[in-house]
Amino acid sequence: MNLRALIAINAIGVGVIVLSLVLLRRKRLHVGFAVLWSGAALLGMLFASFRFALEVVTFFIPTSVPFSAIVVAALTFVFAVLIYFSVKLSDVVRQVTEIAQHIGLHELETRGGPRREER
Amino acid sequence: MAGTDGGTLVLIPAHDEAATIGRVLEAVARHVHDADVLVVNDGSRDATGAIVAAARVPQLVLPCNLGYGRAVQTGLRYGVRRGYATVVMLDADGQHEPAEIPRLLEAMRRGADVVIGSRFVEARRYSGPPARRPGMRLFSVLTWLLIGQRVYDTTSGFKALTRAAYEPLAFGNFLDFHAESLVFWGRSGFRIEEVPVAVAPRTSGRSMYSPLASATYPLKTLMLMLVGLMDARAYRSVR
Repeated sequence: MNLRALIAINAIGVGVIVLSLVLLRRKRLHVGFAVLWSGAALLGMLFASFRFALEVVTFFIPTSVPFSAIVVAALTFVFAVLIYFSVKLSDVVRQVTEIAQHIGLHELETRGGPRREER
Repeated sequence: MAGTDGGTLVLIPAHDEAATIGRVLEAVARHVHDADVLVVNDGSRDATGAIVAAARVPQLVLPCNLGYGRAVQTGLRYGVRRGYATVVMLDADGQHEPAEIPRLLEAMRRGADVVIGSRFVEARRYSGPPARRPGMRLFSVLTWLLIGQRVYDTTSGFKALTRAAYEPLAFGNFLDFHAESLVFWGRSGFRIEEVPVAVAPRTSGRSMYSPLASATYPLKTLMLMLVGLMDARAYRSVR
């Protein structure tokens, strides 16, 4: 990889890590996601900077050239992240539902709801 | 509970701790006087809520499980609203001995802002799961490097905090109030003291750290320690 590309990739990687920290500090990004994206940036910088790391990945992913191995690894990573996001979103939806139900029930009990007739 | 100006709040986060919460509350009532108690029921699905209600202890019920850190933070926000001068945090799983609470409060009277009931500052009978010991040592050393004070038990949930120390935590960016909060306190100028306590092994219920959570916890804590450094700098500038 030529030097300019290497510098650009490492600069982007550092930028992603700094952005994650800034967003985390402003409470705009959950710490789990900050770890995820910082880790991904570090891995990208590692593969760009050390060909040996790329060759290790190629060894475990049976492709003919390191670039193909990176594409496979990147696609796998994207799918893993999408599944992870789906799980987290599902958790959030469930929690919001429970909170909304809790608030509704609480307001009803505070106002006084319909009373069951004595039979 | 009535509003207070000052006073002590014993804060007990609980999630599915029906097996032990009753004994913990009895022990707190026996050993701690002149303090209010609040259980934060973190979306328990077992009889934890019923047991706390039967013990007539005030209970803040979260409608879903938010996790230890958010449950504690909710209790701390209650402490801020009610103006408690001191908050004592205690686990609901019976590992912490309520009889030791007066010793934590005594250390606070000597001038500490943060008093940690520590398993490791003296040799005690509990040494923790083997898989966690390297991580505990690592964070103890990292904390020492960042705040210039060696804290041996960075993951203790048994703490006493002054209002000045717990108020930033009530609204800040913290995980489980472990090493990341120590970095914030240390760099903000709060006085931290460790008091040796005995901690019993967990005999029922589940640890709040699943295998996945145990793997990601160190990475999350490291990131939040960096954030704690920045927040401490901002805190010092406005104090």
